[in-house]
Amino acid sequence: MVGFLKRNPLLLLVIPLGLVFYFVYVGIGWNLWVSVSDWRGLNASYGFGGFGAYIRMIGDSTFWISLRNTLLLFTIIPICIVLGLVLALIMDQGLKGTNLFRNLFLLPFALSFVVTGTIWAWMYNPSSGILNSLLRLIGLESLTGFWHTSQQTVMPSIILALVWQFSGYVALIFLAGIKSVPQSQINAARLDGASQFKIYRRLVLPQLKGALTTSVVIIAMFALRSFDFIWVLTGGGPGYSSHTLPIQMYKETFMSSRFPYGAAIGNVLLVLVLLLVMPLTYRSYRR
Amino acid sequence: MVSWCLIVVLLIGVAALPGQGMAAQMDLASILEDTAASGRFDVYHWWTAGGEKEAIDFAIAEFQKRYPDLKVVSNAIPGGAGGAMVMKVKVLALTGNSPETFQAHPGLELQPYLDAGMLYDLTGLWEYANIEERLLSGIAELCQVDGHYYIVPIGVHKTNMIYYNKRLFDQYGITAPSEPVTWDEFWSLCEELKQKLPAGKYPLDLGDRKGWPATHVFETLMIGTDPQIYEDFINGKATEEQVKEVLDRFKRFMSYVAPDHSARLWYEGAGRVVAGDYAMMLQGSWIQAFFTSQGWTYGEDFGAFAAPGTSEYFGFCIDAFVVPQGSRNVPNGLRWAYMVSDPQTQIAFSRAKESVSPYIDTPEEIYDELTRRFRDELIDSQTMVYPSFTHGTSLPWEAITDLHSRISDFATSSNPDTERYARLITQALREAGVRGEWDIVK
Repeated sequence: MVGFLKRNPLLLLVIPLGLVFYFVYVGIGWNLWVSVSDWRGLNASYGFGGFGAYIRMIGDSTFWISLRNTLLLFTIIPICIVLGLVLALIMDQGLKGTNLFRNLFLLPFALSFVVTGTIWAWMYNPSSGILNSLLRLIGLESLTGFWHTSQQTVMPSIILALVWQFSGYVALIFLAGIKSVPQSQINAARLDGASQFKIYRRLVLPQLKGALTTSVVIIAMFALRSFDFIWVLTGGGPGYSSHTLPIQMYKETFMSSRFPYGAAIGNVLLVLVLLLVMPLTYRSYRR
Repeated sequence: MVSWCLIVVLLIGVAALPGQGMAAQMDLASILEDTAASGRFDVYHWWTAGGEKEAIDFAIAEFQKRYPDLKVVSNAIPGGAGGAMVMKVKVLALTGNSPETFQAHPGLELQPYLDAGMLYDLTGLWEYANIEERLLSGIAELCQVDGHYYIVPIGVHKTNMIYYNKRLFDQYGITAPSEPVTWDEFWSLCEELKQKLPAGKYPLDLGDRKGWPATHVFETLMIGTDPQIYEDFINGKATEEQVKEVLDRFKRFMSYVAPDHSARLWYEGAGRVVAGDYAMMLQGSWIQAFFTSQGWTYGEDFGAFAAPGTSEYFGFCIDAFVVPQGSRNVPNGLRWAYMVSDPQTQIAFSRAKESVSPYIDTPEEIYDELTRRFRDELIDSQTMVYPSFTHGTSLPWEAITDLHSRISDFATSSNPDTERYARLITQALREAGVRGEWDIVK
């Protein structure tokens, strides 16, 4: 058997390829078909039912709110990149306690989104949450707000919490990138009289493209499939104000039993992934 | 190659799971009388708040007295009104893992399950346990679908009540209005509370983090505004003008509600009423069990009155259980459904839950003063009952899901345009194809 496999190594790929084919590509194909099927209620039906789900989407204001919010979550990318880079540069200075802070920065990302969603719901609670209490304590009562319970501030509140969760992780990706710059290059630059600022600007930062791409892809992927954190923190509310496409997809599918419409929203997400994330991963792969 | 074929066969099997066959009708007597049955099974419900959790635990304890070797796994999905639990149950059902039994409301809420042939026909069980003859009038009709029964009721709550912190009223010298309460009296009471309560305390709270308490208030204000609007609404005939009239009243109601109302679940809001932060809450009578769990007594610590304009009406919320066809062990689901109607279960459950038992053989002595009043109202032929749409009986899920979001959107807007929301709400009913034939206006 071992000899047979050694002679035909490609056979080893058959099972994983088969599983990927079934669970990814068959799943995508199934979802595409469900979106145009005549499935009604909980009764699975796979006859052709037309493009009603996509037509409904055009006139559905909730869909556009969900799409807007999903795209709005992309604002966490530049914020996390800048914050992460600053934190990485600070940690690279070899200051005392760097190891402790490295672990502290990684901690939010190590926690489940369900846990962090619950923690932020407590922190944001307008009457008993730590955030408003702290603001009152330091005399900034005018800055207290309704945070995740107000239609006006719910999305900024979500973005703030996600920046907290992701920036430490991004910092560690950048720090790994910085540490991978050969010490000989840095020493050579120093011998040539380059300042620390110039070393970072001319030598280190240009070599962080890989770390940058990885960070952007990870955060963008999260933004597109953002569900658990927002579901726990706001449930998509108040009203529709924090609906994202995955949340609307879940509610339409399992609460309203509109399976074709839920599948159609899933397909829009797929298109967004293809348009926004795939070019990045493709570029990274080519590198 | 063999292993590859095996995987293909398994995958095809997994894909076919949701469509697995329906259980045939079984020999009920042998199933229900088999008290030596063993194993474990799942019961899904949404009772997690103080009082109601104890009630379901009592029901389980009664079940295990009869079936001591059957372990009941109580799966509580928090949130109230079933929204979160329904999603979980639907996912389980579609993957071929239906629980043996789950909580539901009779009426249109069951339609998606019935259309999919998911529910076990419990007509035989109704006959075996003599349920139809034992029910209070009006309940059997709501449970029946085309001459069959698919659900067994466990408790009834009145939905159109306003509960208030009596100690807070006394402290600020406020007198609760005597029933029947008119709208003018109610607005005067809210205004008086607003004037007398110190900063940080509010006349009302909603606790609508999960959305449904806002819809609950909306439906109660609707019946209080005009029962004809309610009837038209659940029949899919309400006009935008009618809905706007209700929303205008709702807008005024919201001006007395604590501004961070959507940060809390209903029982967290009730907890703040107990703490004296908010004076009143418009809720169903399930709030009483919560108050009791906090050490409160009716008449001393809290009072209650029917929402303005609704004193002749009884908002019906019937809690019940169904048995899915495709579960791992349908007989265990049947045993649970049977025990739900058991007189001893009814005594233990109704006493803790402070719900009205749907069965006439439940002794009156188990009720506290307020629940006994509700039972008397329910059996009084002059009382007009209306089926709650927030709690699944008179509108389909498709409509309710949209309503929850639109009404929650309304309740959390700083200055909502009632005309626009009236249009959105009537549009939601149209899209869901609501066409009822309810007749609630006598």
